Amino acid sequence: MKESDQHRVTRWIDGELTDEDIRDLLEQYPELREEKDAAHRVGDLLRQELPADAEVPNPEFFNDSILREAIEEEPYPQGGPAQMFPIFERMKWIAVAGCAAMVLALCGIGINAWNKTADSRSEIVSVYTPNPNHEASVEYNGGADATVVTLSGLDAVPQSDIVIGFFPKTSETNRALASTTYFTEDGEPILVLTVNAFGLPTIRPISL
Amino acid sequence: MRISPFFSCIVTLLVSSLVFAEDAENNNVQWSDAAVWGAMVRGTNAELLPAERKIEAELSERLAKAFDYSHFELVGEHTQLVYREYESWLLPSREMYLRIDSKGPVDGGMSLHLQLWRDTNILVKTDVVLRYDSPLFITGPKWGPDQLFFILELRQKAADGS
Repeated sequence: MKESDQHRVTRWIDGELTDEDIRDLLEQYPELREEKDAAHRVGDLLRQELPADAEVPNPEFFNDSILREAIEEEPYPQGGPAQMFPIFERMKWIAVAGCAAMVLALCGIGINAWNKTADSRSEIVSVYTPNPNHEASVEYNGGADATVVTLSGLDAVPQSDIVIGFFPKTSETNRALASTTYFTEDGEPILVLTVNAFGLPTIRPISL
Repeated sequence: MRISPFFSCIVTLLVSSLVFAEDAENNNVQWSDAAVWGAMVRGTNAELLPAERKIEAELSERLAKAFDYSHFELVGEHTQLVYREYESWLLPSREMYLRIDSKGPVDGGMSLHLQLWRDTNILVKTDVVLRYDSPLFITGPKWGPDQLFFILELRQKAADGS
């Protein structure tokens, strides 16, 4: 049976054909009349045996099963929807590629942002306080955008003491004497740093 | 006038040594990869006196976010090259000063070994990766109601090495 005739049969069963069309169809395929009568007899028999308002057990499963079987038994004609709408096929791959690119871009942005954050800040690799009374803790302070080393256990500076600050601008080092002299912007010497053979520094302010 | 080969050699050696000495002096900058700025800062909740130096406003804001003080006085500051082969010293104060040993440049910064000294004692030894625009704050001792802090920042070295 030709495909167009199959459609005509379907329309006939659905009651959509005119009398003239039905006549043409049955002339061409007389065996259809017997099949239709047989189908009607089966239908009548089923209606007699089964209650009209009987509920289907597990209706969702029943519907799903029917739907699944219908899909399996009735594949899309001529290779599915792609051939019906070829542009959809191309768009599908464009969409997939677009989604993949988007995911990669988002991952890239995320990784970049993470790297920028982690790689742009100063970090403490190790910390050690030689004096057992001292302790050091390290944290990154996001508000200050700074790495903070907190030393605890330090002796306080007596309030009466004066803390002298330096503002050296230039320096001259004498390697032979292991000393460095520091100067102000005006070239005035302000302090001398010497380091002995054990690496112990001594700072001597010149102005005092 | 004839110049003896021996005299020529002596003159050549002297001139060469002078030239190389001058080059070495000029290339002092090349012996370092970066400069560091270190500052001794006093944190206080009292208003600063007119004679007391304020630190930069941006740094002051950052410090105020990290510590419970509202005002910060610049007690001393020192910018120093980080030498590749030998140690550098940051001396903004005798109360706290820093020895720096370079462990070489890293991506966006410098790998350094630091020793924070107070008088003749080391308060802390630490290996850090110091990066530009990311300061290191080290809390120092209390000083009456106030507190001292050591601030360290990595800075690009100037062409003249400062």
